[in-house]
Amino acid sequence: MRRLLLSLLLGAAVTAPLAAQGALSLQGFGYPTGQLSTRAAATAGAFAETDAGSPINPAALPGAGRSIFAFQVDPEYRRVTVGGRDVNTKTARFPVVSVGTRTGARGFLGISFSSVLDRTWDASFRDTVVVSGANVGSRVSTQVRGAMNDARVAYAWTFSERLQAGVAFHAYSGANRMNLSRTFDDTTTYGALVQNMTLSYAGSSLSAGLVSRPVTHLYVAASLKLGGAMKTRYADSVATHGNAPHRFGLSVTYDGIPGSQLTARFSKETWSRMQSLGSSQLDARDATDISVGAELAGPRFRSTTTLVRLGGRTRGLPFAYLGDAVRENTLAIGGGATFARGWATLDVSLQRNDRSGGGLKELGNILSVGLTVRP
Amino acid sequence: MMSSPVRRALRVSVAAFAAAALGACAEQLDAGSACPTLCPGLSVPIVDTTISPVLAFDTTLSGFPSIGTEEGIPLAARGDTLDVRAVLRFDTLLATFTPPNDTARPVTRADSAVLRMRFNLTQSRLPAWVRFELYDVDTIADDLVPAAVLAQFRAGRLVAQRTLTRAEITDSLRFALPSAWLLQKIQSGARVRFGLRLVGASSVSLRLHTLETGLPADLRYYVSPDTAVKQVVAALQSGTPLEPASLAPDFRDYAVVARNALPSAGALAMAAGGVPARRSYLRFNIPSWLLDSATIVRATLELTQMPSRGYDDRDTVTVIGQALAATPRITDLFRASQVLVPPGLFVTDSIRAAPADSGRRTLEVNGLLRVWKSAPDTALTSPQRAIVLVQREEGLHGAELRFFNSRAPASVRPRLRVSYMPRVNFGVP
Repeated sequence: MRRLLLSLLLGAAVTAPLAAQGALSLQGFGYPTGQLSTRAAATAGAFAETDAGSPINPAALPGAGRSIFAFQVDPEYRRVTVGGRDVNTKTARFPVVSVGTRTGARGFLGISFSSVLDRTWDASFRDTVVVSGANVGSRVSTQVRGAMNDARVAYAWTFSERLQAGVAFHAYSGANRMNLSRTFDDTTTYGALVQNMTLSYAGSSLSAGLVSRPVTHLYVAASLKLGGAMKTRYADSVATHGNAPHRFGLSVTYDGIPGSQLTARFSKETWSRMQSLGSSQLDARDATDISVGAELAGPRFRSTTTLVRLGGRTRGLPFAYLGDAVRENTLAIGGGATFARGWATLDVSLQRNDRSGGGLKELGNILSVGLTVRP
Repeated sequence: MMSSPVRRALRVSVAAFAAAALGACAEQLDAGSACPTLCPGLSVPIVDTTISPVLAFDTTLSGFPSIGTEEGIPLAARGDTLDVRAVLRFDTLLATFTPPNDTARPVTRADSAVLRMRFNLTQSRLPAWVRFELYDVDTIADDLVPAAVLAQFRAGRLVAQRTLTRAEITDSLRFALPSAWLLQKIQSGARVRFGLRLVGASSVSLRLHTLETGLPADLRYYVSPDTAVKQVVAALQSGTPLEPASLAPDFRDYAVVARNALPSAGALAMAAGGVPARRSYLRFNIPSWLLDSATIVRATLELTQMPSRGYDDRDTVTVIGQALAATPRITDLFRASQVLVPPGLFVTDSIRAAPADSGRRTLEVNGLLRVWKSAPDTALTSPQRAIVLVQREEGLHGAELRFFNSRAPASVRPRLRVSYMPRVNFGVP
C-alpha cells in the first residue's frame, strides 16, 4: 500500500497534466498562499486556526507536541483562458517552514517563515510600439520572481487543558526581482531594452490567538493580527508606504465522532490597507475566507496510521482585475501518514481552485507535499 | 542505527519530496499569451527627443587615402577641373639572365616589351577616343613631393603613347614599349618609373587596377630569341623612399593629382569624397544623462546635405559613417581619422546621394552610443566619441557629398534624434 501511495505521489507530481492558469491570481502584489501547512491545505484552510504547522494562530503551537520541524513544497499548475486560448503555467512554491519546541511544561516557542503573497511569473509576448513616429514590432519578455514573506516568532502558553493562548511578532520581508526586456524585430536599427529592478518589502505585524475547549468535544480557536506599517524599497530608496493588513479568524471544531475532526472557519483580512503600497492602478480589496473541512482516521497499515482530509472554501483574492473582485472557490482533498512511532508525518494535499473575475476564469491546482518531524 | 520504521519513514519521505521537487523544478512560468491583458504594471514609456547641437566640433580633413593605398587609381582628364595620373614603378630589373643548361649572362636584348595594365570601367567616362601617354617620371626628387613627379610629364620624357577608340577600350591594355629605351634602362641599372596620363576627345576617367585590388600592372619582355628562354615578367617594385623604408611598398603604384579645381566646402559645410578624398571628422558631445541614465532604443544622426555642383554632380555615391577606434592619446585628427572601427559596425547604414542633391540624410548610430555608454569619455583608453564620414569609393571618384556643419544655422546643423527608455523604477503593481 505504501508503494502504491508512493507511486501515486510520483505520478501526480511529475506527470499529471494538472491544468493551471496564469495571472488572475497574480494581480497586484501576487497570490495569497494562505500560509497553510499541507495539513491545513488539505482541509481548504479550515484547520488553519488550530494547526501548529500553519503560522496563523500562535495559540495552536502546543498542538505540535514536544517539538516540530515542518516544511513543504507546493507546485501549482494553472490554466487561464484568454480569448479562447488556454495558457498553461507551472509555479513552484515553498510556502511554509516551521520549527518550534516546548519550553518548560506549558510554554512553546515557534519560528516560521512563510510566503504571504507570491509573485512569480514570466510573460513573453509580441507587442508593437511607436518609436520615432514609426510602428515597430517587438517581443516583450518579463520575469518576476519572489514573494512578500512573513518571518514569525511566536510563543504560546497552555493555561489548562481547556485553554491555550499565544502571541507572535511578524516581520515582513522578501523581494520581487523583476526583469523587463524588449527586443525589436529590426535589431540593426533598434537596440534591445533591458531593465532589472528589485522591489523589496519591509513591515511588521503583531498577532495573538487562543484555542479553547469550552465544552467537551468542541474547540473554539480565534486569532487576530494587527498589521503595522509597511514600505517597499528600490535598493536604498523607499518607493511606497502602506500598511500590512489586519486579519481576524475564528474556527469551531467538533471531535465528538471518534477518529474525526470537523471544522468550520471564518476569516477576514483587510488587504485594502495595502492600497497605498501600490500604484494608483492597484485595486486592493478586503476579503473574507469561509471554509469547512474534516479530518478522518484512515486505514491503519501495521504501525502506520493514516488520516484522510477534505474541505471546501470560498474566499476573495486581495487584488481586483479590471475593477472586479477576484473570487476563488476551492475543493481540497488530502491525507497524512504517521511513521516511526509518531516521529514523522508525511502529508499530501491537492487543491482545485476555481477563480474568476473581470470576465476571465482561471483554474489552479496546487499539489502540496509536507513533512513534519517531531524529534 | 536507526530503527526499521524510521528508515522506512525516511525512504517514503525522501521519495515523496523528490517527486514533488521534480514537479516543482520544471517550472513553466511563461503566461505570455495572456498578456498584455493580464500583465499590467511593467510597461515603460519610450521617449523621443532631439539633441541639437550634438557636435562638440567638426572639421574636414583632406588627403585620403594615403599615397599608394588606393583601391585603384582614378585616372582622369576632366578639362580644367580634375586631372589624375598614375605612377608605376619597376625599380628592379635584372641585368643578367641564365638560359637553360647554361651560365648567367648579361641582358643584351629587351624584345617585345609591353606594359600590361588592367582597368575597372565602373563609373568610367569614355569619350570617342582616348590617348594613353606613358612618361618616364624617374627623378631623384623627394618621393613625397608630387610636383617633382608631375614635372616629368613633359614631351621630352614621353616614352610611348597609344590611342584607342571607346570601343577598343576593354578591361586590359597591353602597352608596347620601345625596346631600346628599356634595354638602356636595364643595362645602365636605372629605375623604370612610368607616369600614365590620359588625354581624351573630351572628359575622360577610368580606374586603373593596383596592387590593392589584386590586379597590378606588370612589365614583360624577352631577353633572348631562344624560345627556351622564358619571357621576363617584372613586378612592381619601389626602392624609395629610403626613410622610412616601410613606405616604399606603397610607392609601387600610386595616384598623383595634377589638378582638382573643385572649390572647398566652405565655412558652413563638411565634405566626404573627392580626389584626393576628404573626410569629415565629427566629435560628439552627448549629454551624460542620456548615456548614464537611459536605455537607448534608437539613435539617428540627422545631417542636411548641401548641394554641390561642378563635378559628376549627378552621380550617386555612398558615404558611410565609421566610428573611431583611436583613443584621445592620438590628438592629430588626420591620424585619428585613419584609426577606425570596420565599416558597418556600430554605424549600421549609409547615405546614398548625388552631390547636387539636398535635404535631410540620416545615419543610425544606436550601436555607437551603446559603445560610448560603456566607455567613459574621460578615460585615455576609451575611443574618441567621434565618427568620420567617408565616401565608400574613397579616392576613386571625384564627386563628394557635402553637409552643413555645426557652424551652420540651427535648422540645418547636425543633430541627434534619440528614442530612449528613461531609467525609471517599475514593478510597483
